[in-house]
Amino acid sequence: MTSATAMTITDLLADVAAVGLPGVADREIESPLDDRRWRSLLVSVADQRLSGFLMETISLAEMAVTPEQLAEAVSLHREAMSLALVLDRTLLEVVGCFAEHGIATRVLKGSAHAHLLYPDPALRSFGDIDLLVRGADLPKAVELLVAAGGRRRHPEPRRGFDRRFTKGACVVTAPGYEIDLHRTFASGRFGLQMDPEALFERSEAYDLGGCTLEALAAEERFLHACYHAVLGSAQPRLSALRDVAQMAIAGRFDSDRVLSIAERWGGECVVAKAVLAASTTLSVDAGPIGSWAAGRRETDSEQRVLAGYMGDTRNSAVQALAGITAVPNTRARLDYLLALVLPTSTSSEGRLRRWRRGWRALVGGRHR
Amino acid sequence: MTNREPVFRRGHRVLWRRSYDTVLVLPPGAVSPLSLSRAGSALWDLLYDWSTADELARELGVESAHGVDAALADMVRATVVTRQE
Repeated sequence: MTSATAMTITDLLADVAAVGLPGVADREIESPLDDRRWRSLLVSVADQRLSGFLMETISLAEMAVTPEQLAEAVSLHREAMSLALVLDRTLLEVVGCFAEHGIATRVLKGSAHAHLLYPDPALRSFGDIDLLVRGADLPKAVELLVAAGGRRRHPEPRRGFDRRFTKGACVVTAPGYEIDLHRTFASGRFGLQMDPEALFERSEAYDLGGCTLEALAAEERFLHACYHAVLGSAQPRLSALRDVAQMAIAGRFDSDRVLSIAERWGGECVVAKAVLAASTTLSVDAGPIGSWAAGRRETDSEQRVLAGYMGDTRNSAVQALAGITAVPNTRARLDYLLALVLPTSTSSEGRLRRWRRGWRALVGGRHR
Repeated sequence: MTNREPVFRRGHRVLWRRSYDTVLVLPPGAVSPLSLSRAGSALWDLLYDWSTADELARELGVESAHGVDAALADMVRATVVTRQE
């Protein structure tokens, strides 16, 4: 047993995110948190989309709570599950509409992870819909969502950019739900080095409301979880690290195939970083792929590219500009650069400011 | 003798999630999910396959099927449970 006062909120959150994973040290919180710390934990649980894991922690009696705290945790989880249900239905509608127009899809992250990775989908909360479509289908997919009342968040910088270079496009539906249409797993170099067409060669199906949806195959799903955890935000979200740990420990994929694809895509450093972050943060043994990750050393070049995605140095313009080397030929490089530097669409001031900062970060050092 | 009692099952297109001691179900076309009571959630768990109200009452350990009948009628009205004659 552990006294709650001896643990930081960060430690408590990590324990919540790791609940149920094999090999995790059994640390029961024997007395309820005081009001201030409980409030802080609950805010972080909501932010990190961990309400299902918090309910599991409480249900397994690994954390003592007062009746009021229990009611608040239940209310947070119900809210998260209500959103998940509405998003799942929206997902079915969107996939059905795309299928009618001949657009193939692979469901990514949230809904697919909830239904395929966990014994109960109620463990995994999510706040939007993520769908992979082929680059060639992306403009039509956006058009269909806009025709249904959606609004594209950022315009295509130049005609043809979506098909060839983009990570994806975000459309907000009329009721306010976000649909992220992905062409690749990441922006910049890591996305441009991928072979997105290969993601449609295999799949794993799951049932949702009597319909069959296609998610990525297990290896590609693991790769995407790693890319999302490391490249998706400055600080990895705990639910994303849990997904990585859940898959690594379950071992339901071929590690050799994962590493072979990662090598082809120049993404071994991403996989290694994600696995290490998941095993360190959640204090779990990530199995054979964990041993591989622990023994791998990042090159200087990998560190430089990763810096554009992680921590305080994260900058979308740096990511995009550093991606130029992954664009295959001179003509395509010119198109890519032109779209980044001279977009024809109306860009917001904020976006332009980010580009200027990114440009300065890339070239500024040479003039100092 | 043929059993002519109606049988009930979860609507197979109904989306649902468990949340602690209740079940949330999203009826087709509804804006937001319904939260079943604790008893309704116990009934929902048994509705994975076709059953009569009597069979469900027996499984739940209740003497009379009246309460189960009423709950099933509500669920059928909410289009989350399918009734077959």
